[in-house]
Amino acid sequence: MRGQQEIIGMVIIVIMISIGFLFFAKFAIDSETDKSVFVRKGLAYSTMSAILNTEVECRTKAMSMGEQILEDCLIMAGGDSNTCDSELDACELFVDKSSKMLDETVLQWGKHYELRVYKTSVGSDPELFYQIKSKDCMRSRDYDSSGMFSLNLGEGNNLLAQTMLIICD
Amino acid sequence: MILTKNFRQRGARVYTKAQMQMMESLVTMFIFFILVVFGIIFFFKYQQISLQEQETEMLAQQAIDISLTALFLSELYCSNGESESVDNCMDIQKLRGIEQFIDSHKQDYYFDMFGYSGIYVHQIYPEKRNWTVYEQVKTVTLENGEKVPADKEPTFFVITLRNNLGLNSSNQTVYGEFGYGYIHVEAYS
Amino acid sequence: MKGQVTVQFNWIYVMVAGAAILLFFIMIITQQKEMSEKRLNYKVMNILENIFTGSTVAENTKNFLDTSGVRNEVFQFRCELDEAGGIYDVFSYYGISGSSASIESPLSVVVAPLNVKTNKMILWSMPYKLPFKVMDFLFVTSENTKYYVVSDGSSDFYIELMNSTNGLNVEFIDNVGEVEYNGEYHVRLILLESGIPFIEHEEAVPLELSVLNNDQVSAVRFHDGAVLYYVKRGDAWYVEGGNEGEWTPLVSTGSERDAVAYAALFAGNAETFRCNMMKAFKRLSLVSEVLQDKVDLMVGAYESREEYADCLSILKDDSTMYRTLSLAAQQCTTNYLACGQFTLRDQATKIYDLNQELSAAGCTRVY
Repeated sequence: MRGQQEIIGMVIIVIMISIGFLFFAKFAIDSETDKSVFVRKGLAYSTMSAILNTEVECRTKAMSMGEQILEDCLIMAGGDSNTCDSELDACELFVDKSSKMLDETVLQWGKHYELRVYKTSVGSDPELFYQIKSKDCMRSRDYDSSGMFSLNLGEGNNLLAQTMLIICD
Repeated sequence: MILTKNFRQRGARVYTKAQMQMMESLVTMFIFFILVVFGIIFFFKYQQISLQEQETEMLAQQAIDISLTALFLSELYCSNGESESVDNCMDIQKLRGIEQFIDSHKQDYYFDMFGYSGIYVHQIYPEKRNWTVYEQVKTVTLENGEKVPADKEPTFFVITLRNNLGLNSSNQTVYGEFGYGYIHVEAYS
Repeated sequence: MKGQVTVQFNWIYVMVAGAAILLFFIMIITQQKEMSEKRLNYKVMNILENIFTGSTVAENTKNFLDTSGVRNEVFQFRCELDEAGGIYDVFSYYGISGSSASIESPLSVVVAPLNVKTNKMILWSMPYKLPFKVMDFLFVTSENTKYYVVSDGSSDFYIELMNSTNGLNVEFIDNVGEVEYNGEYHVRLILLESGIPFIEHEEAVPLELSVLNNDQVSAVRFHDGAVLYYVKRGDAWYVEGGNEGEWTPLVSTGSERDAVAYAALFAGNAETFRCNMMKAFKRLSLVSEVLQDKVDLMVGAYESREEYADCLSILKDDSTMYRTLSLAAQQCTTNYLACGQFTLRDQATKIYDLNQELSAAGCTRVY
C-alpha cells in the first residue's frame, strides 16, 4: 500500500516537472530577436538624420530643419512668427513638421518615439529645451536611441544644439 | 496428500507475496517507460520550437541583409561627387526609371541579389510619392489549389530623398532639395 | 550446483545486454556529434555571410573577427570563370573546406587568399570607383597570412601601403633575401614597381620558404599598371601561365585608395582576381545605365528651362558617355583580356571631367 502510494506520488511529480519544462522551453525561447533590436537602433539613427536633413520650402528658397529652422528656434527663441508663411514661429514649425513626419512613419509602424532637443553651452550640462513624444519611452523596457546629433549654433557662439530620437515598442 | 489448513494458508501467503512483487516490478518498469516517453516528447517538442525559432531568425536576418543591400545600393544612393555620400539617402532622379530597369535585369542579376522580396520607397514630405524598386513575390499553393503569397517579414527604414533637379512629379518647381520618406522591404520565407 | 550455473548465466546476460546498450548510446552520440559539427559549420557560414554583408556596406573599415572557435577549419574562397573565360556561368563561393557548408557569391566581390585558417580573420571593405562608386570590395585576410612588401621605396603605392595596412600582418623590405618564416599559414610577396624584377620565372625561392608547401607561398608583381602572379613549385618560382606569363591589367583610375590595386594584392591567384573584377564590371555596366537615365532626365528637364542653358550645353557635349562606359564594361564581362581597359579608363576620365565641369558651373552633378 505504502509502496503504491509512493509510486503514484512519483508519477505525479514527474508529470508536473515535464509540463513545467515544456512551458519553460516555450517561454525561454520566446525572446526578442536580433532583428527587432537592429531595426530599432538603425531606425532611430536614420529617422533623426532624415528629419534634420529635410528641407522645408520657404517662399523661393528652402530652409533645412536642422541647420536653419532649429537654429532659429534655439538662438532667436522662435524668431519670425510667420516662418516660411506657415503662421508659426521656427520652434512651432520644427515641432509641427517633426511630429507629422514621425506620426506618419514610426507611429504607423506600431512603435513610439521621443524626440529631445537640448541646448548646450561649452562647460555646462545640456539643458532639455524641448520634447516631442508619443510615449514616455525612457520608462519602457525596450528602447533604442539615435545617439546625439550636434549642431553648432552659429559662428563665434559657444552654443550647441543637440537632438536625440528614442524609439520604443 | 491431504494439505493441512496451516500449509494451505502459508502457500496462499507465499503465492500472494510473489504476485505483489511481480506487480511492483511491472509498475516500476511501466513508470520508467513513462519517464522515457516524457523525456522523448519533451526533447522533440523542444527541437520543434527551436527549429521554428531558427527559421524565424533566419527570415529576420534575411530581411536585414536585403534592407542593408537596398539602403546602400549603388544604383540609388545620393552621391556627392568625390566627397562622402549622404547617409541613408536615395536620389529621386535615379528612382524614376529604376523599376523598369531592375525588372529588365531581374533574371540575370537582381534576383540573385534580392531573391523573393519586395522593395518599395515612399516619400512623405514634401509630396506623397511611391516607387517600386524591386518585386518578386513568392507564392505557396494551399491544399485547395489556391495560390497565396508566402509569409513575409516587413522592415521599415526612414530615409532622406534627394531631388536636385528641383522638379516635382507634376514637373513644377520645388525649392527643397531633401525630402523625407521611408523604404519598406518585405522578405518572403 | 544449480545455484552456480544460474549466477554465471546472469553475468553473461548482463554483459551482453550492457554491451548492446553501450553500443546503442555510442552510436547515438557519434551521430549527434556529426550532426552538431554540420550544424555548427552551417551556422558559422550563415554568420559569416551576414558579417560580410554588413562589412560591405560599411565602406573603408577594417573589422577583426574572432574565429578561434573554428581555428581548425580551413575557409576556402573561390572564383572560377566559365569555359569561355567570362562570368556568364561563374562558379564563385566561400565555405569550409571538406564540408557542404558554403555560400555562393555570384555577385559580391570577396577577395581573399585561396585558403584561410586562422584565429582572427580581418575584413576590409573598400569602394571601387570608376570614377563614381560602383560597389564595395571586401578583402578578407587573416593575422597569420604574412605579406612582405618588397620595394625600393620609390613608388607611391609603397608609401600608401605603409599608412593603410595598420592591423595587417605586413612587413616592408627592400629585397627578397630578407624574407623570414615565422610559422605563418601563408606568405605572400608583394613586389612593387622596380627597374629590375625582384624575382624571375624559375628563380629559386628564399631558403626560409623552400621548406613550405607550394600552396603556402605566392607572389604578385606590380608593373606598368598590370600584375603578374607567381606560384611556388618545389624550390622555384613559376609564373602563372608559363614563362612569359599573362599580365593582368588593372582597370582603374589609379587614384589613391585604388580598390583594384588592393584586390590584386589580396587575390589568391590571377583567375580569382580577374573573376572578381569581372563581377565589378558587370555591376559597372548596370550602374552606368542608371546614371545614363539620370543624364537623359537632366537634359529633358533643362531643355525647357532657360536658366539652365549653361548646364544643358555642358551635358550635351557628350550626353551618351555613360552608355559608352556601360557597353565597354559589358564587353569586359565576356573575357578580361579582350576587355578594352583603355576604353574604360578613358571614358571614366571623361565622365570625371564632365562632373567637375558641372560642379564648377554651379550645376547639379550627375554623380
